[in-house]
Amino acid sequence: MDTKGNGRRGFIKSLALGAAGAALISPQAARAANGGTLQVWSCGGLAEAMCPAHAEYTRQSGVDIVYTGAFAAALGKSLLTGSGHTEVFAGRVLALAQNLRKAGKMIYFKPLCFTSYVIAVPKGNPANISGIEDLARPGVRVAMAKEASAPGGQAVMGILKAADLTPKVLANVPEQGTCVQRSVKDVATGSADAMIVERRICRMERFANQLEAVEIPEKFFPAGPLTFTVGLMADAADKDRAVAYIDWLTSPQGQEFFEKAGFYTSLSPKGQELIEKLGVKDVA
Amino acid sequence: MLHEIVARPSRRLRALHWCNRAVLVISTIFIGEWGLYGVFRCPFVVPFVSCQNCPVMACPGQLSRLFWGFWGVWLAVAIFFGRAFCGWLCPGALTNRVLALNPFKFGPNPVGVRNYRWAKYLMLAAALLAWFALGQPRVNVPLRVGEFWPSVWLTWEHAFPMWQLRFVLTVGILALGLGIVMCWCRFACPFGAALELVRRFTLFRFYKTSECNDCDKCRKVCLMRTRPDEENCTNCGDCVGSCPKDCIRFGLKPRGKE
Repeated sequence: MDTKGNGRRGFIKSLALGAAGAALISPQAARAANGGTLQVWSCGGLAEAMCPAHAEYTRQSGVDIVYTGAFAAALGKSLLTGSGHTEVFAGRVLALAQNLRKAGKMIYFKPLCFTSYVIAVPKGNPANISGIEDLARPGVRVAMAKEASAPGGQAVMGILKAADLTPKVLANVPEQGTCVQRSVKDVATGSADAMIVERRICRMERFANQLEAVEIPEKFFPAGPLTFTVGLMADAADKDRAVAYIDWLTSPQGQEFFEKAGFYTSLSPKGQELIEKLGVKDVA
Repeated sequence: MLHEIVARPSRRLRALHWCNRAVLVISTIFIGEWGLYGVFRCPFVVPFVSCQNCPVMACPGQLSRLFWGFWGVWLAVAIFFGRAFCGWLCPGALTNRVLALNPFKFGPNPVGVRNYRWAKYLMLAAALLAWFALGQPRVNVPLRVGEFWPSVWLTWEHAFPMWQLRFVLTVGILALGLGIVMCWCRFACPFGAALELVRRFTLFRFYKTSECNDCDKCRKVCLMRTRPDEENCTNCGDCVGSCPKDCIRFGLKPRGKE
């Protein structure tokens, strides 16, 4: 191949072809939608529930959901500083929704669902873990991702502190991970005996047949990360479309997806109790 | 059959070259999107190797959970065909080939650039260190689901400095390919460096027979700026037909002959 023969025109053609190719292989490129599109951002922890919920909503309504799921605090920061824009935001931590409301970025929010914490153990529970105290038992191999992005590491440390078990359990952690999903894989494969995780982790498709959940008393849960809300953003181009989506997501039909993914729905008795207990109410 | 094509340059040889480009394009269609995710959205220091536990649901690399040994297979294939992955399948190679079409690029190598051949081994060492010794830390806020290009901006906005450094290095070295042909593939690709280590022992390869008079015409047509069976040869076959002595062959290299 003699490269000297290629001229400027050929180069520009190649760039154009490359750009067209990139657009083609880019996911979700220019999808047609009968009912229009709606931009939805949520905490990444909701992604396993949101994805199938959106597929069903699109099937029913014809509205194409353009969805981003990531660390809620990062998304929230983008929304608060104005560098990011979305039409609906389902974030974790009540204070984030309240701050967005106060900043005028969000018009209103509703409670969506609540998370809870369990001890994930390998199928069959070979180390015979029956409660949080067992994590402090000598010889138990505890997996942990203390440095994982909040609330992954912070929440677990909060639970251990509330249970007054921090030093004993930390002594049973052979190696601190940086990512919850990578560390819980050690439990799934049996190279660790237990790990405190959100219940939703045990419901994930990749772990569902490998993990069992041992309950942790609710009194040890840190309040902050438990709450998920869904709110209408001031940037919504079509407010009615966004409201219809939020109403569906918080309806019994939409909430089924969150229940299936391991959350307490806002409509459930437990959810209603947590709404009152944690004060998940919109501010005027 | 390939040996015959190589021995008698002909229309079949041109077909071989076109076949190479076609395979590169097809491969890029299948794994190019994964490549984009690796460069622009992968949350780990070393991309492409932690897909089994990655939280980015939208990434095509999630499919590799079905098949753990992707990179191992290509290392094994390298025992038979050297850096054939680089020459025939890698989307990065196609990208670099497109960049090399830039008519304003340096014709010959810029002075002294060949002295940086070691750089890819440094990249390999850094990657292995980050992967195994540092435990492959996660260095950005993973966008689990989201439109690709808007997600790239959000990823950059909230990434840790190590991720931003990796991003700038990768894109910067790729961009250098506009001036220094195949810059990434020749000087920076850690997987290319790993394959290069295996290539030295490969069974089937393009090689020069003893009639070679070192005229270097094969190096001039080669985008990797090398000669058959020398460092950075990817067994792409572009050099075949360039040799005035018709001394480029493919197959098991006869022992004891250059």
